[in-house]
Amino acid sequence: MKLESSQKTKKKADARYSNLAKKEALQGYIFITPWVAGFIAFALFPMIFSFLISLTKWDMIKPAQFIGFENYSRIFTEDFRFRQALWVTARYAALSLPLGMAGSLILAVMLNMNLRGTRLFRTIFYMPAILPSVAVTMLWLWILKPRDGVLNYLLGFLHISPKPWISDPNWALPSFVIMSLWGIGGGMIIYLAGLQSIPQELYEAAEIDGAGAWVKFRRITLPMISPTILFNLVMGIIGSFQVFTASFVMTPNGGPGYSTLFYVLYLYQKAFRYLQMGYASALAWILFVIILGLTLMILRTSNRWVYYESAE
Amino acid sequence: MRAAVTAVIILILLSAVGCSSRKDDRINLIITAWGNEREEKTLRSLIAEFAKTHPKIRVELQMIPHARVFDKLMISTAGGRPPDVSRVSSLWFHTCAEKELFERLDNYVNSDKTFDIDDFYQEAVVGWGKHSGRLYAIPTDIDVYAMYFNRTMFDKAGIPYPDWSWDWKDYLSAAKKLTKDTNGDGKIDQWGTSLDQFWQSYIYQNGGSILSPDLKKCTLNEPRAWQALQWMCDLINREKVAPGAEETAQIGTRKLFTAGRLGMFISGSWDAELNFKDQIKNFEYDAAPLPKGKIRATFIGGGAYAILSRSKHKQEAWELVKWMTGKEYQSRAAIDSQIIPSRKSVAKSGAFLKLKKPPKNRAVFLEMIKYGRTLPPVACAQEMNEVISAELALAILGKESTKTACEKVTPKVNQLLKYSE
Repeated sequence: MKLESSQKTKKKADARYSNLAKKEALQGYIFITPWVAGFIAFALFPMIFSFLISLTKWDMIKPAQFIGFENYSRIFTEDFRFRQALWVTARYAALSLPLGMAGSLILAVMLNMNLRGTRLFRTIFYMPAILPSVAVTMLWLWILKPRDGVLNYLLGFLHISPKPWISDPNWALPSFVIMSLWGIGGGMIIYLAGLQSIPQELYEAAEIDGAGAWVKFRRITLPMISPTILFNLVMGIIGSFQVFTASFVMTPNGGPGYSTLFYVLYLYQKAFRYLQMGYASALAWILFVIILGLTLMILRTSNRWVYYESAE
Repeated sequence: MRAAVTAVIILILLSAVGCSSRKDDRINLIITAWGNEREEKTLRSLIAEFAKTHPKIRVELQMIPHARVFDKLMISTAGGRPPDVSRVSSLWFHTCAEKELFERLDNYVNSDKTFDIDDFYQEAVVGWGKHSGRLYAIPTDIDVYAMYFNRTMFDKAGIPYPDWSWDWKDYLSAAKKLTKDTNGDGKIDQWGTSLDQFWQSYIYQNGGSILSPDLKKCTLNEPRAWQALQWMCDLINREKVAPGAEETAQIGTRKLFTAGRLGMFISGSWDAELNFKDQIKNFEYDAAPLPKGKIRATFIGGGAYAILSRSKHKQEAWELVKWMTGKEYQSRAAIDSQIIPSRKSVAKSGAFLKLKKPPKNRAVFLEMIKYGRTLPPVACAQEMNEVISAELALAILGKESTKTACEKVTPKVNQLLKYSE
């Protein structure tokens, strides 16, 4: 009897709780409605729409024509520019990503040493990351001029012969990599934040145990900022696969022999110069799958090398 | 404060109402065109004259950079609000016509007794007025190429001026004599010539073609085509009489010519007025025919005016097109900018020929018209051109032979032709 009544009260309580939970959930949904609505209208719907377009032949003028997966099969079987664009972009990512990540980490570590003038240098190094990218690219066009550009002039002091930079198919891609290194201030700031959140006690303890600078960096700094490295790596991959502005300003036609036909530049040409919206949408979806795949791969393997303090 | 805000809001609303209920019952036509300041001035004054004779029509001119007009027409048509009339370039006329951006004009021409289509150069009407045998635009000017040469430089070197007897050999030997290292620093600083901006010209001159006559196959892999392009690339890489990419990336070949560092420069008649006039200071120049290869030929193109098929005021737009391609307009453009008229009557009237400014031998441009060849009239013209140019850039840099470049690019062009209908 007693048992029964207690079960009853429990049921009642459950019902009341679930009522409360429902109410709470409802309120929660109401609160996130603006965001969800925004996501549906400006992200989900366009994505679905672009997938549907990718199954058609559409020039925005005549009505779209459904052609199934023909765009995809054409891209994979016979589109030499797709292959070239992927090759250019992958090479660019493979060069600029490690260099950029190492460079910004080194800068961050140096700026974290509490030397004089740190604030000034922090501002200077971060500046390029906030300048408008079109303006920066125009600037680089001047720097990279083959005959009297600043870069070749400086190389002259080191007795290095002038390079043709973007007017030459072999030098064009390295030019873009060099340009990208100018913007490492963005990654640097994030590393700096990561570095400054490392508790000083760890270093003090290590010093007492007789650890040198390298050991401290290798055994304390790197593991402690590994989540930051992961973040920068993922953002870097996404960013370098989506390079557009620089290539669009400097070599809008893709450069000699399509040596700087970056993937998104090709996508843009197909969509907005040749008005092949279906084809361009298919290209966009392929890029999405590639980036998604790379990101998932990194996240999967990240538990082997990323250390989360709070997780333990 | 609140009263003030309310008053402002009411005022704004009222002004909006005022705008929408305009008393003015004139018809609004939007026309898009490109051109530099001088051309814009000519256009504006001519449109003002049009307004005088057509009080019921108000014309709004929108100037757009040349490179953006094509995109603008495409995207505004896709968006549903294109202009009523637009200047059209032969470089992308066929792409637009294929997509039915333009109104068919055959009926307008046939039923309008005041309009004489036979006065126009047939090369222009067929080249960038008609697509698949239908008339979509009325040509207004002709862009045909001839060879400007630095007379002072020729005199100094003691070389006879280029004329109709010149062929590729004469051209090359003159270019060799003119190419010099004038200050003795081991670098060439006076060049004999530079490449034609249209590589197509070399192929035409060699009796070759880009596409087969039925426009279904690319013919660049045939010897007459790639040999012509090899001759072009050799001017830079083997004969070294033309500046390469490193040189021209700096200032461009046009500036080399105006600076007196280039002997022969291939360009259109408009260059004399729009660029040379202000920039050439210390030498005399003139125009000559392009040297002939196996045959005499050159690239030809030009501008036209078309009515957008989504325009709501086509009859009025037709009146405007007639005016913009009429005799008054063409004589003015010829006088102001040395633009070659598309009407034979204007070209021969002296408006173009009797101008008292250089080049003296202006008639050579009109004589070159009959040797002109347009770019292949296919819908994918622009994309095709860019695909070929990207590959050809490697050959011009001397990174590969034109034979290899042409063999590589031919199947790619065939692919484009297959999918663009």
